[in-house]
Amino acid sequence: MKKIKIFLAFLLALTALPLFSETEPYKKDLDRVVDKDGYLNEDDLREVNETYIRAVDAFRFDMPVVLMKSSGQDLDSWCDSFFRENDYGYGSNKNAIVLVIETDTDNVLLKGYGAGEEILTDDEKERLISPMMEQRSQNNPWLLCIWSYLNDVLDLLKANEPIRNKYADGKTVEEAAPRGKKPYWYPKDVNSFVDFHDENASRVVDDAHIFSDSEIARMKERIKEIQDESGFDLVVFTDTSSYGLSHGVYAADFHQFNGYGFGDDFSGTVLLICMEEGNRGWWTAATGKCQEIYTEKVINKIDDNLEPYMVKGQYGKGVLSYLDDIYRLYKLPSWYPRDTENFVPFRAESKSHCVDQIGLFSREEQAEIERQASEISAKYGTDFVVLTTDETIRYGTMASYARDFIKYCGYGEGENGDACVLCLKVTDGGSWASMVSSISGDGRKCYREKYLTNVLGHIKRMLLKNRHYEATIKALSLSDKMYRTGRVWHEIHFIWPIWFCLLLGLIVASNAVSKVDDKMKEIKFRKETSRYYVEDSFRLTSSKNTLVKEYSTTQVIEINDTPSYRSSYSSGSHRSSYSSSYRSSGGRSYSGGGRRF
Amino acid sequence: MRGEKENVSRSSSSIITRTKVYALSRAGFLNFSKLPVDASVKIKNELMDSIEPFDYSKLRPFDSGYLSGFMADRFDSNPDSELPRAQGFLMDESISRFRLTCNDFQTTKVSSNNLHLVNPSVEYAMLPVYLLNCSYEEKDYHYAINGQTGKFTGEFPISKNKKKFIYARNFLIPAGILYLILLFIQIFF
Repeated sequence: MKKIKIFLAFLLALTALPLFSETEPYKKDLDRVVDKDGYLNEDDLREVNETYIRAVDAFRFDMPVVLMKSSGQDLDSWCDSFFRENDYGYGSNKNAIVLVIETDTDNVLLKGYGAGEEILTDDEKERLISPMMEQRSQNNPWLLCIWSYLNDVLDLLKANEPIRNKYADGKTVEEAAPRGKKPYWYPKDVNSFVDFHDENASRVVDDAHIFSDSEIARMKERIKEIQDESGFDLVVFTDTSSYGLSHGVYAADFHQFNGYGFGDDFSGTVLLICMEEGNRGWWTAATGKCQEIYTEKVINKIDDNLEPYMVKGQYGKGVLSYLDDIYRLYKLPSWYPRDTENFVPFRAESKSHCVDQIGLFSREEQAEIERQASEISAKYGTDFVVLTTDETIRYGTMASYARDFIKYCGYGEGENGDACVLCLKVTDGGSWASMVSSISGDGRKCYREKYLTNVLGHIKRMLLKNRHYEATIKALSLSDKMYRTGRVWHEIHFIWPIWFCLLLGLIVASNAVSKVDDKMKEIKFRKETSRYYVEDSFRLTSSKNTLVKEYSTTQVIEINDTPSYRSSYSSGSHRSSYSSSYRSSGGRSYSGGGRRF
Repeated sequence: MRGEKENVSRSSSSIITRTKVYALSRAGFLNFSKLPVDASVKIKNELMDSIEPFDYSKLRPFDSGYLSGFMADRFDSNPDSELPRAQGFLMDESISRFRLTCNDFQTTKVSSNNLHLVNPSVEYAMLPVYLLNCSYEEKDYHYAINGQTGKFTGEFPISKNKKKFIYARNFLIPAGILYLILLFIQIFF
């Protein structure tokens, strides 16, 4: 009885053994480059296999390559049986992209399994195969083609990190990409979708339930203010999944398919916050007139402010701060006309030549600037205006802000409406200056871009020290000179070049003197003993080489696994991925950017 | 000696360096003939070493008649005291000869060596050398000339004023040119 018990316990232990054993996510012992006809030599094959294995480990994605002669079989079904019989693929979803090349016919098959199936679109197939076959057409060896392919496939995998994460272990293929499953607001047939406006739709859609009611109320209030102020629509949308779409496309789809956006071009933006595990991030998608406003610079600035909140999980606070930024972004100057399309250019009767919108100057300073600017304006028949502002985020550059000011405030003298604006922007971050001229006729010779830049160069250091008044007076006097003499030179620095010159002089002089010293020294303290060696007298009586030890060092070349791919790119750490133009599933053009957290 | 062989293989993902370290032992014979070693304490060894070689084919048995009309000094250093110098020279040359037998190795390093002199013999010889001494700006300068070949060695005196002039010239000209260039760049670009 005791023996039977021991035997049963032994059997039980055997059945439990697999529970404790750790299974590999993929079969490491299989060759990742299968060279059936010996196109690669042994060393190359081993090296390329080692690299592929490293790539598989790094990307958690299998990518076998087969080189073979045509077998007469259908390549697609051969690939399926090869893949399944050998048990290729990474993880439980068997994520892989398989490349099969028939070397004698140059027939190529690229097939995706698991996540690979979703990643590998027809366009991507073409992008992977073309460069490789181009290499081949130049009679390059197959080894080079395989390296080129690996490079491209890794780029593709980097760009599709969300999809790879989605299919990561623990999720079945069905869970990862529910076939046909789309969000509740998605149209049944995208192709027959007709654009519409829904002004009553909620502008805060919190499907991820990350905001409190009070936060939602405050957001709606702020969005209303922004809409009234700017005439552009704005939506905040959160969700727990992007349903296999990229953040950009999902945000754009939400905007389009729910009837958001004002005007014929549906001008507006949507902020998407995706809370999907492994795919968390936010994206701002803009369309219509807003596309021009949301430049990469603007997106980065706004995302920089939003990121700390998102990382800390303060989503409500973050979005409210985001809306403040958007308010500032959309805020139009008081002189900006409501209807720019029907704006009729005019000449203002009474014009101030010192438009201090932010109270930068005292009353006396303003009077002095006004006097000098008016004098220059009268003397040269060109409006010279000093303009101060604190926010030009809406405008890509201060110059475009100044140009709008000339245009919409009725500045300009003479037939051509000649004017020159010195625009000073002062914010917490510092002071900036820009000079813009809108001058035609003879004045062009004097008010050249180069000379305007020179004027700014002269006042730069004063602005850095926040001596705005002095800088303005200096700019006025230089502008006077510019018109009078036809040029303004760069600001010339006399002091700092001296240090460079002293250094160079010291180096050259020391070198010259040491050369002289060397030249005058004739003693060569060297005895040439080889002269006294009797030729051919060397007899080696014993020679022994004993291997003491052997070691190897490996310097790994890092595979950078950061997303960067084609039209979307990330410009560095803590920079937003930005796409200047992409299309929603409904075909509407959007621009936008966002980050992951 | 210690010798190392390295084999580097590269791939797009890694650089693998395989190193084999060997203990190398070499033994052999070399013959040296008529290695001159300065036997005068008064004259700098370096100075004498620098004017070699001498043509030994013209060596003659010593005769005091050769010295008539010349100021001559007898050797004042015995062979035992100069032997370490001579051994140093021989060792350096021997090592370089043995190294030639290790060309297969990328790096070699001598860890220990042993020089055993077989039948060494020492003979005094008088070799023709002209010695010149001069003083310039309170500093003595010594020169030696090989009486057979005319090979000359010694340090030339340098005028301090001329040295200052060279320094000033080489300081001011490039510094001045650079300064003008920097001003020019600022004005026109």
